[in-house]
Amino acid sequence: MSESSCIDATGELVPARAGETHFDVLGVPRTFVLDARELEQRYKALSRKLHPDRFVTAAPATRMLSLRRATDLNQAYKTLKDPVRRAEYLLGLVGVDVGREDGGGPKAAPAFLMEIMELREGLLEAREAHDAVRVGAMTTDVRARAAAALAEVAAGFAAGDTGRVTAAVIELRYFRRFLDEVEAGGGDDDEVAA
Amino acid sequence: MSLLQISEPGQSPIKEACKGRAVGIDLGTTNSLVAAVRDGRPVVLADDAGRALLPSVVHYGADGVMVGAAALARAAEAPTDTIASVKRFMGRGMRDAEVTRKVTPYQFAGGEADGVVRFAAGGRAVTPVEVSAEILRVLRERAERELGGELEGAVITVPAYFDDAQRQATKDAGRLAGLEVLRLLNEPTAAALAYGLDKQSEGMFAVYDLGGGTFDISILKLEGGVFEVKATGGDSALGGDDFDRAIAEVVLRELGLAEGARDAAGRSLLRRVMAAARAAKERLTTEPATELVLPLPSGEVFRHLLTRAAMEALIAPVLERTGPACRRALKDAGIGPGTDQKLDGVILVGGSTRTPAVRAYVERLFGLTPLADIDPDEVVALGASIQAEILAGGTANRDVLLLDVIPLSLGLEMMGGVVEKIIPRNSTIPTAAQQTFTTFADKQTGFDVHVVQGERELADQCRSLARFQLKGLPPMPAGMARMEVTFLVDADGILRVLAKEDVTGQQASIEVKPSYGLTDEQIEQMLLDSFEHAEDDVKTRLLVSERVEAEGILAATRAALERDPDLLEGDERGEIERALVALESAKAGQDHRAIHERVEALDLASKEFAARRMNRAMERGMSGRRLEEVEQKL
Repeated sequence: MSESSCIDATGELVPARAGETHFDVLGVPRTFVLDARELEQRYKALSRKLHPDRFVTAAPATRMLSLRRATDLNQAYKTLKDPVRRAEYLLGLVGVDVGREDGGGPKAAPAFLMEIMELREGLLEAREAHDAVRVGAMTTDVRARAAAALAEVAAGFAAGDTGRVTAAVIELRYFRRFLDEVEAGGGDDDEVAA
Repeated sequence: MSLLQISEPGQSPIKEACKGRAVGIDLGTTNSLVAAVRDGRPVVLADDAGRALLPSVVHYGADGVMVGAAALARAAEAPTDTIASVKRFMGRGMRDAEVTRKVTPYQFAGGEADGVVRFAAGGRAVTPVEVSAEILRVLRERAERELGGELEGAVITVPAYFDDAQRQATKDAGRLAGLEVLRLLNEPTAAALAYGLDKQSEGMFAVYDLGGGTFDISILKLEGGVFEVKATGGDSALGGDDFDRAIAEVVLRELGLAEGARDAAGRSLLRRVMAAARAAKERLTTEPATELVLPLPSGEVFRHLLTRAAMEALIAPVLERTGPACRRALKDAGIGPGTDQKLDGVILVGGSTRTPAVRAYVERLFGLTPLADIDPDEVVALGASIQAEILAGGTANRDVLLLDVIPLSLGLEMMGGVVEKIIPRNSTIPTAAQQTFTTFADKQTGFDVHVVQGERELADQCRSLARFQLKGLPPMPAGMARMEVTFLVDADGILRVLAKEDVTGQQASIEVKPSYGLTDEQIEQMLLDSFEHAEDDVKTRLLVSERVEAEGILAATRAALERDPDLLEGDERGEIERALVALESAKAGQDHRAIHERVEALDLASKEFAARRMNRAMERGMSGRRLEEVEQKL
């Protein structure tokens, strides 16, 4: 395991240093391609070392440091485990602000926005017509397009082309929101057995 | 051998002497328990009479304070001096609906300015924290007697749904009882810990916790000794008491007592019908049919044959109300259709899960045979004792770690009463959010901050957690002073606020006024409402924000027209003014989309005018900062 910036070689807690990134906290290379399983294992292994539960009987300053570092770790993991958040964060590190999901930042191309609007309308219509087959088909289609956009994000990073990444991230957000809407359902959500 | 143990490096002799004296306490609404790990196994500790369950009842009499069964025995003769179900009042204020609703037999002592609930009992005023401390003190003494010495510390369990104020009150009660509170632990998480270690289980587990009056559902991932809570949810106005009520309803109908006639029949008859219903329900756990027998005031005896099938039909509607919370929790945990996660087991907790119909329902709901082989009344205390032993540095389960979540989102009230969520529900704790506040007036030296908890979009629909005043900023021009505030939720689920002035690095002072607002039930109602009203809320929120934006653009455009009229060309002024009027009328309406469209129309109409103004501004050599402002306004 490469080193986390939260602990030193002897396993002692270390305060955050200026410019520390989420990648430093988790002790993983600063790259878009991360293995989800490996990241989870690392997060849990580090949690064991940093969590306030491990410092209940320690001095107050150490307890506070553990609280801070465990918080840093949770935030780092939350950001890096999700590919979209990870991409946004990586873009932020190189000075590209993709803004928040609900406004600001670069906008999607008008043609793409039009397409999304049509998809939304299609979903609404299919719902109103109780056309579960069509909703299912649209969902499958959008899932595939989301996966393609995610691949584009990875390819953009590999090519060092932040413009390409930004465009793909923005599209990905729209696909995700569409899928969230499908999941939120038109009230028939509760009928679906777990 | 014993010499070796005493001289173990890094362990002080005092610590060593206390080892094994950390306990887990389930401070329940109806009953409380204490447990400890002995010889590597968790066990509940019984009183002298061999009873493990301590009724959560405190009696304040002329002859002193009584706790447990003895206090319960006094409840009938001295109802106002005997406090039961104190858990419902923890962290609540006098203005809370729970208190003002007057459903309780208690009398409240008024007059205190702090707004804290006080019961008038036994000729004095006691707070819920003090009442709970009496219960905890009895459990502490029991544990010290059983374990042979002073306790090292305790883990006290709370419903996963307890908010900040309720958690704080529970911690205070522990301290008041002379306990070192090592951690507050969520009840479902405690249960999962007891099961997970007992069975050496791995995978995704649901904990279905149905008590007398509350329902909790949690989804956890168990792997390599790490118990990671993925999602939690519940309904604290739903429990086994509702089963009794459904059965009692049938009896009352057969007795010919319609809803209106019941008050005349007397509270004591109603109470006996409820008790008979509960007894019948419990007998039906093991028998296929039972006779419900009820002596009537007239001297006659009412008899009613109740089969298990008939009872199950009666309680089915109640049971089905637990379904939506379960499905939502599964979804929040990323389990279900369209995901590659599946559930590996379901754990039953709470006395009400003894009812066979509950087990059958859970089995249908999750498609798995539920685990119920640890006593559902004891499992929470047992789990808490395991956690206590770990926290105190014990070695029995050295590699176990619990990662819990915050049950309800934390947010800040923004302009227009809209909530900005800063920490979403089901975030792993400890967690934090940073927020930077900027002054909007010259020489402003502080901010008012309102923190709320809940899922709704508007602040007055969420639970008010605390109002802070961030003070002590150096007087500077508007926009210059910036305060960075960190909202930190610690491992007990309790909020801490840290603030720092950005420019001077000066620490700002914070006054925290906990706002006592709502009941548990209301919080959950809010959560339920947020799903029902999600659409309404979003619309309201969008409307508010579109209006704020429209306001800004209207003002800026009018100012620009006034300032640079010479830059207007052709019929530009006419077009811009028509767009202004159109936006003004949309702003007065309820349709956020219309406002948005007309903002864009105005944007378009004034685009070229704006560009010319920008050029002029640049020619005048305005600073970059001002330019940004101009740019924003145009």
